[in-house]
Amino acid sequence: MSEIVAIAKNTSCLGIGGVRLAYATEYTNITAVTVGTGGEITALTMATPAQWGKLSFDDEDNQAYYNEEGELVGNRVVSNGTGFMLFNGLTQAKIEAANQAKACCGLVIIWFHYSGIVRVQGIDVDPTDDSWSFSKRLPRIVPNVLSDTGENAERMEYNVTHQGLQFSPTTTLDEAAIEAL
Amino acid sequence: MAAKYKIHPRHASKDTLISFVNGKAVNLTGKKATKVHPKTLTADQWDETIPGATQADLKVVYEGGMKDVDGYPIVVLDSAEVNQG
Repeated sequence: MSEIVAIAKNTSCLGIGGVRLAYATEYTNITAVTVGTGGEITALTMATPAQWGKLSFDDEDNQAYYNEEGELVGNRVVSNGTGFMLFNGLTQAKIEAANQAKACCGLVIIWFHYSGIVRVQGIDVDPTDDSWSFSKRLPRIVPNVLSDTGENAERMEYNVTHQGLQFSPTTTLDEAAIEAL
Repeated sequence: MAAKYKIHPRHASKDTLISFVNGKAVNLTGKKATKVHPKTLTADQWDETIPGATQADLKVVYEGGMKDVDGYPIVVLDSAEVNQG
Protein backbone atom coordinates (compact mmCIF):
# COMPACT_ATOMS: atom_id res chain seq x y z
CA MET A 1 0.00 0.00 0.00
CA SER A 2 1.61 3.27 -1.05
CA GLU A 3 -0.04 6.50 -0.06
CA ILE A 4 0.82 9.74 1.67
CA VAL A 5 -1.40 9.89 4.76
CA ALA A 6 -2.23 13.35 6.06
CA ILE A 7 -0.67 14.02 9.47
CA ALA A 8 -2.07 16.76 11.66
CA LYS A 9 0.10 19.16 13.67
CA ASN A 10 0.59 18.10 17.30
CA THR A 11 -1.43 20.40 19.54
CA SER A 12 -0.70 18.69 22.88
CA CYS A 13 2.36 18.51 25.10
CA LEU A 14 2.91 14.86 24.13
CA GLY A 15 6.25 13.86 22.73
CA ILE A 16 8.43 13.24 25.77
CA GLY A 17 11.37 11.10 24.70
CA GLY A 18 13.06 8.02 26.09
CA VAL A 19 12.21 4.51 27.20
CA ARG A 20 11.78 3.34 30.78
CA LEU A 21 11.44 -0.44 30.66
CA ALA A 22 11.80 -3.42 28.33
CA TYR A 23 10.80 -7.08 28.22
CA ALA A 24 12.65 -9.55 25.99
CA THR A 25 12.16 -13.14 24.91
CA GLU A 26 13.61 -15.54 22.34
CA TYR A 27 11.51 -15.22 19.21
CA THR A 28 10.89 -18.98 19.19
CA ASN A 29 8.83 -18.56 22.36
CA ILE A 30 6.16 -16.66 20.40
CA THR A 31 3.68 -18.98 18.70
CA ALA A 32 0.97 -16.60 17.53
CA VAL A 33 0.07 -12.91 17.36
CA THR A 34 -3.17 -10.96 17.08
CA VAL A 35 -2.92 -7.80 15.00
CA GLY A 36 -5.64 -5.19 15.46
CA THR A 37 -7.28 -3.30 12.63
CA GLY A 38 -4.87 -0.40 13.07
CA GLY A 39 -1.81 -2.64 12.79
CA GLU A 40 -1.12 -2.73 16.52
CA ILE A 41 -0.41 -5.99 18.34
CA THR A 42 -3.26 -6.78 20.72
CA ALA A 43 -2.34 -10.28 21.91
CA LEU A 44 0.47 -12.83 21.95
CA THR A 45 0.53 -16.56 22.51
CA MET A 46 3.65 -18.03 24.07
CA ALA A 47 4.86 -21.61 23.62
CA THR A 48 5.47 -21.96 27.37
CA PRO A 49 4.88 -19.74 30.42
CA ALA A 50 7.34 -17.33 32.04
CA GLN A 51 9.52 -16.63 29.02
CA TRP A 52 9.67 -12.82 29.21
CA GLY A 53 12.71 -11.30 30.90
CA LYS A 54 12.00 -7.96 32.55
CA LEU A 55 14.82 -5.49 31.94
CA SER A 56 14.48 -2.73 34.54
CA PHE A 57 17.38 -0.62 33.42
CA ASP A 58 18.68 2.49 35.15
CA ASP A 59 17.79 5.67 33.33
CA GLU A 60 18.39 8.47 35.79
CA ASP A 61 20.62 10.12 33.18
CA ASN A 62 18.09 9.63 30.35
CA GLN A 63 20.40 7.49 28.24
CA ALA A 64 18.09 4.60 27.27
CA TYR A 65 16.47 4.63 23.85
CA TYR A 66 14.94 2.58 21.09
CA ASN A 67 15.43 4.31 17.75
CA GLU A 68 14.59 3.18 14.24
CA GLU A 69 16.15 4.83 11.25
CA GLY A 70 15.01 4.17 7.70
CA GLU A 71 17.51 3.18 5.04
CA LEU A 72 17.01 2.91 1.29
CA VAL A 73 18.37 -0.49 0.24
CA GLY A 74 17.96 -0.99 -3.48
CA ASN A 75 14.37 -0.02 -4.12
CA ARG A 76 13.14 -0.76 -0.63
CA VAL A 77 13.19 1.22 2.60
CA VAL A 78 14.09 -0.89 5.62
CA SER A 79 14.12 -0.02 9.31
CA ASN A 80 17.34 -0.24 11.27
CA GLY A 81 16.51 -0.45 14.96
CA THR A 82 18.99 0.32 17.72
CA GLY A 83 18.27 0.14 21.42
CA PHE A 84 20.37 0.95 24.45
CA MET A 85 19.91 0.23 28.13
CA LEU A 86 22.24 0.62 31.07
CA PHE A 87 22.44 -1.20 34.41
CA ASN A 88 24.44 0.53 37.13
CA GLY A 89 26.93 -1.55 39.09
CA LEU A 90 28.51 -4.91 38.32
CA THR A 91 27.84 -8.26 39.96
CA GLN A 92 28.43 -11.85 38.97
CA ALA A 93 24.67 -12.18 38.45
CA LYS A 94 24.75 -9.35 35.89
CA ILE A 95 27.76 -10.87 34.13
CA GLU A 96 25.94 -14.21 33.92
CA ALA A 97 22.88 -12.40 32.58
CA ALA A 98 25.02 -10.74 29.91
CA ASN A 99 26.53 -14.06 28.88
CA GLN A 100 23.09 -15.62 28.57
CA ALA A 101 21.66 -12.61 26.69
CA LYS A 102 24.43 -12.60 24.09
CA ALA A 103 23.79 -16.29 23.41
CA CYS A 104 20.22 -15.54 22.24
CA CYS A 105 20.24 -15.64 18.43
CA GLY A 106 17.02 -13.77 17.87
CA LEU A 107 14.80 -11.83 20.24
CA VAL A 108 11.56 -9.94 20.42
CA ILE A 109 11.79 -6.91 22.68
CA ILE A 110 8.91 -4.81 23.99
CA TRP A 111 9.92 -1.23 24.78
CA PHE A 112 7.88 0.99 27.12
CA HIS A 113 8.31 4.67 26.32
CA TYR A 114 7.97 7.42 28.92
CA SER A 115 5.29 8.87 26.65
CA GLY A 116 3.13 5.78 27.21
CA ILE A 117 3.52 4.24 23.77
CA VAL A 118 4.76 0.61 23.71
CA ARG A 119 6.67 -0.73 20.67
CA VAL A 120 7.55 -4.27 19.69
CA GLN A 121 11.02 -4.75 18.19
CA GLY A 122 11.43 -7.92 16.15
CA ILE A 123 7.91 -8.27 14.73
CA ASP A 124 6.91 -6.64 11.45
CA VAL A 125 3.28 -5.94 10.57
CA ASP A 126 2.54 -5.58 6.85
CA PRO A 127 0.28 -2.53 6.38
CA THR A 128 -1.33 -4.01 3.27
CA ASP A 129 -3.05 -6.85 5.11
CA ASP A 130 -2.01 -6.59 8.78
CA SER A 131 -0.23 -9.94 8.57
CA TRP A 132 2.78 -10.34 10.85
CA SER A 133 6.22 -11.88 10.56
CA PHE A 134 9.44 -11.89 12.51
CA SER A 135 11.87 -9.22 11.39
CA LYS A 136 14.35 -10.05 8.67
CA ARG A 137 17.28 -9.58 11.03
CA LEU A 138 16.05 -10.23 14.56
CA PRO A 139 17.18 -8.19 17.54
CA ARG A 140 20.31 -9.36 19.29
CA ILE A 141 21.81 -8.09 22.52
CA VAL A 142 25.46 -7.07 22.48
CA PRO A 143 26.48 -6.40 26.09
CA ASN A 144 29.28 -4.24 27.44
CA VAL A 145 30.65 -4.86 30.93
CA LEU A 146 32.52 -1.74 31.99
CA SER A 147 34.60 -0.72 35.00
CA ASP A 148 35.00 2.74 33.44
CA THR A 149 37.25 5.10 35.43
CA GLY A 150 37.14 6.50 38.95
CA GLU A 151 35.30 9.55 37.65
CA ASN A 152 32.39 7.42 36.46
CA ALA A 153 30.27 4.44 37.52
CA GLU A 154 30.93 0.81 36.71
CA ARG A 155 28.05 -0.59 34.70
CA MET A 156 26.69 -3.10 32.22
CA GLU A 157 25.15 -1.99 28.96
CA TYR A 158 22.91 -3.80 26.48
CA ASN A 159 23.05 -2.63 22.87
CA VAL A 160 20.33 -4.06 20.65
CA THR A 161 20.19 -3.95 16.87
CA HIS A 162 17.75 -5.34 14.33
CA GLN A 163 16.58 -4.75 10.79
CA GLY A 164 12.96 -4.98 9.74
CA LEU A 165 10.98 -4.48 6.56
CA GLN A 166 8.55 -2.33 8.54
CA PHE A 167 8.89 0.00 11.50
CA SER A 168 8.11 -1.64 14.82
CA PRO A 169 4.40 -1.84 15.62
CA THR A 170 2.88 -0.68 18.88
CA THR A 171 1.09 -3.01 21.26
CA THR A 172 -1.88 -2.59 23.56
CA LEU A 173 -0.35 -5.12 25.99
CA ASP A 174 0.63 -3.55 29.29
CA GLU A 175 3.16 -4.67 31.91
CA ALA A 176 0.58 -6.75 33.80
CA ALA A 177 -0.41 -8.65 30.66
CA ILE A 178 3.18 -9.43 29.72
CA GLU A 179 4.09 -10.52 33.24
CA ALA A 180 1.03 -12.79 33.36
CA LEU A 181 2.22 -14.74 30.32
CA MET B 1 -26.19 -25.44 18.86
CA ALA B 2 -23.42 -23.16 20.10
CA ALA B 3 -20.25 -22.99 18.06
CA LYS B 4 -17.32 -24.92 19.49
CA TYR B 5 -13.78 -23.72 19.21
CA LYS B 6 -10.55 -25.69 19.26
CA ILE B 7 -6.84 -25.29 18.63
CA HIS B 8 -5.80 -25.57 14.98
CA PRO B 9 -4.50 -29.09 14.24
CA ARG B 10 -1.08 -27.55 13.49
CA HIS B 11 -0.71 -26.87 17.22
CA ALA B 12 -2.99 -29.53 18.70
CA SER B 13 -0.15 -31.65 20.09
CA LYS B 14 1.26 -28.85 22.19
CA ASP B 15 0.86 -28.93 25.96
CA THR B 16 1.01 -25.20 26.44
CA LEU B 17 -0.08 -22.17 24.42
CA ILE B 18 -0.19 -19.31 26.88
CA SER B 19 -2.13 -16.19 26.04
CA PHE B 20 -3.69 -13.26 27.90
CA VAL B 21 -7.45 -13.35 27.39
CA ASN B 22 -10.28 -11.64 29.25
CA GLY B 23 -7.85 -10.08 31.73
CA LYS B 24 -5.97 -13.24 32.67
CA ALA B 25 -3.36 -15.70 31.39
CA VAL B 26 -4.87 -18.94 30.09
CA ASN B 27 -3.56 -22.07 28.42
CA LEU B 28 -5.35 -22.25 25.07
CA THR B 29 -4.97 -26.03 24.99
CA GLY B 30 -7.56 -26.21 27.76
CA LYS B 31 -5.18 -27.87 30.23
CA LYS B 32 -3.87 -26.32 33.43
CA ALA B 33 -0.28 -25.13 33.17
CA THR B 34 2.29 -24.32 35.83
CA LYS B 35 4.22 -21.10 35.74
CA VAL B 36 7.36 -21.16 37.87
CA HIS B 37 8.38 -17.82 39.33
CA PRO B 38 12.13 -17.97 40.01
CA LYS B 39 13.66 -17.05 43.33
CA THR B 40 14.58 -13.40 43.68
CA LEU B 41 16.42 -11.36 46.28
CA THR B 42 13.13 -10.75 48.06
CA ALA B 43 11.01 -13.83 47.31
CA ASP B 44 11.35 -17.60 47.22
CA GLN B 45 10.61 -19.57 44.07
CA TRP B 46 6.88 -20.24 43.74
CA ASP B 47 4.49 -21.89 41.33
CA GLU B 48 1.40 -20.35 39.82
CA THR B 49 -1.34 -22.33 38.09
CA ILE B 50 -2.50 -20.97 34.75
CA PRO B 51 -6.03 -22.21 34.04
CA GLY B 52 -7.08 -23.89 30.84
CA ALA B 53 -8.94 -21.66 28.42
CA THR B 54 -12.73 -21.84 28.38
CA GLN B 55 -14.79 -21.86 25.21
CA ALA B 56 -15.49 -18.17 25.91
CA ASP B 57 -11.74 -17.50 25.96
CA LEU B 58 -11.21 -19.41 22.71
CA LYS B 59 -14.06 -17.45 21.11
CA VAL B 60 -12.24 -14.19 21.93
CA VAL B 61 -9.02 -15.49 20.39
CA TYR B 62 -10.86 -16.78 17.31
CA GLU B 63 -12.73 -13.54 16.77
CA GLY B 64 -9.56 -11.53 17.30
CA GLY B 65 -7.97 -13.31 14.36
CA MET B 66 -4.83 -14.53 16.11
CA LYS B 67 -2.50 -16.26 13.66
CA ASP B 68 0.76 -18.15 13.78
CA VAL B 69 3.81 -17.01 11.83
CA ASP B 70 2.66 -18.93 8.74
CA GLY B 71 -0.71 -17.18 8.73
CA TYR B 72 -2.81 -20.03 10.11
CA PRO B 73 -5.39 -19.20 12.79
CA ILE B 74 -4.44 -20.54 16.21
CA VAL B 75 -8.09 -21.25 17.08
CA VAL B 76 -10.65 -22.64 14.63
CA LEU B 77 -14.31 -23.58 14.72
CA ASP B 78 -14.56 -27.26 15.48
CA SER B 79 -16.56 -27.96 12.34
CA ALA B 80 -14.72 -25.48 10.13
CA GLU B 81 -12.46 -26.24 7.26
CA VAL B 82 -8.91 -25.87 8.52
CA ASN B 83 -7.33 -24.60 5.38
CA GLN B 84 -5.04 -21.58 5.66
CA GLY B 85 -6.75 -18.37 6.72
